[in-house]
Amino acid sequence: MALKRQTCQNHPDRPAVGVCVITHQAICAECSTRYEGVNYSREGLGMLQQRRAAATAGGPVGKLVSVAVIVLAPLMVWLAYLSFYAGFSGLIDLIQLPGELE
Amino acid sequence: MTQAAGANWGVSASRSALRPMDMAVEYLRRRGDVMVLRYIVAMAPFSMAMLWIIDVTSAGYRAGLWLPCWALTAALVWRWVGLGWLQRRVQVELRGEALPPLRRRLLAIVLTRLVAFMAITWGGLLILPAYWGFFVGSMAGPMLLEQPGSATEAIRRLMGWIAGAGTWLGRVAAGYSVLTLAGAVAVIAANVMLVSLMPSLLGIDNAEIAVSMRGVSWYMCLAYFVFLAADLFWSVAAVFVLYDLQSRTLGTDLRLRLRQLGEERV
Repeated sequence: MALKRQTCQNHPDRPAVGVCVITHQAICAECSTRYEGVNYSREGLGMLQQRRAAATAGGPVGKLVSVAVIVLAPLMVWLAYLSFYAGFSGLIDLIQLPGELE
Repeated sequence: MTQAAGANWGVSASRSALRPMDMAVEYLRRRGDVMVLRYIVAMAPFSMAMLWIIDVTSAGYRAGLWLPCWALTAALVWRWVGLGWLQRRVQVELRGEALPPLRRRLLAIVLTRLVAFMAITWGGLLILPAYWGFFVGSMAGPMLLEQPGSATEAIRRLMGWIAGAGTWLGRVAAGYSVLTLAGAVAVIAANVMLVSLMPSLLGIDNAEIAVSMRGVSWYMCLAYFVFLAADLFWSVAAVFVLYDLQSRTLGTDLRLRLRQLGEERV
């Protein structure tokens, strides 16, 4: 069975030269844009731009996490101090243990 | 990282867990002088605070422990800034192009490292948080400099990469642990040689030196020395691990780039 030759989604009289990786539409040479080694249609490029803008801007959850970390930073600094104090205090106990056993 | 000429790094059949560490050794061999100097700048306050703590701890002076612990906490923040600066240098040399200035991401790097430190210390009892804290903390700086936009999104992406490479990173962690233990054994063996074997072989009276070298403070200093060597190595290796995690989408050949660095030197 012969494969049907695909034509461009936007120009039915032209043969398709590639498929957009985002919209999966067959596109001709004129409709195709090669970006970072990958073929995109105009709509696909627009969607890619929107996705990247959303990714770089960060959602509300990301903003909440950032605010929470900044607010809790002094507490975390105090916990860091506490971890050092507890650790070295325990080490003093270990060092003094043989003397106490005697 | 931009696509560089050369074979594709990420798609190669062998994805050895030792490969990033092997490349870190190669990089330190070529740029060790610069890296050691930067590391000294990053760790100088931390080391002074640590020596103070070693002095107080070996004396058993618990009442005087609080002040050096606060000094160590402050020096810890400086350490993170300094390691960010060190890792940025590694990144710039590997990329062959400029990165955004460190100050733009400094707050995000310090806060991420702080959260990771909490995971390692207080979450260490549960093991899993310590695993996440270890990798996220060491790769936060390079990741945040590499990725523009929201810092939380960049860290979320990093955590996704770490989650997707759990087995491989487990092998990396095991390899790194073995290397650190080997270094510790070498240092202990050298200590035993100096204190016991060589004096008896050479007929030297080592009573006075043995008082110092068999003391608690000496052993703590030795342990800290091993930590410094392992920490410098991992700070560089973490950049290579990050690029290996990233290499699935961005094919690069870091070996080619390392070779170019060597040729530039010559």
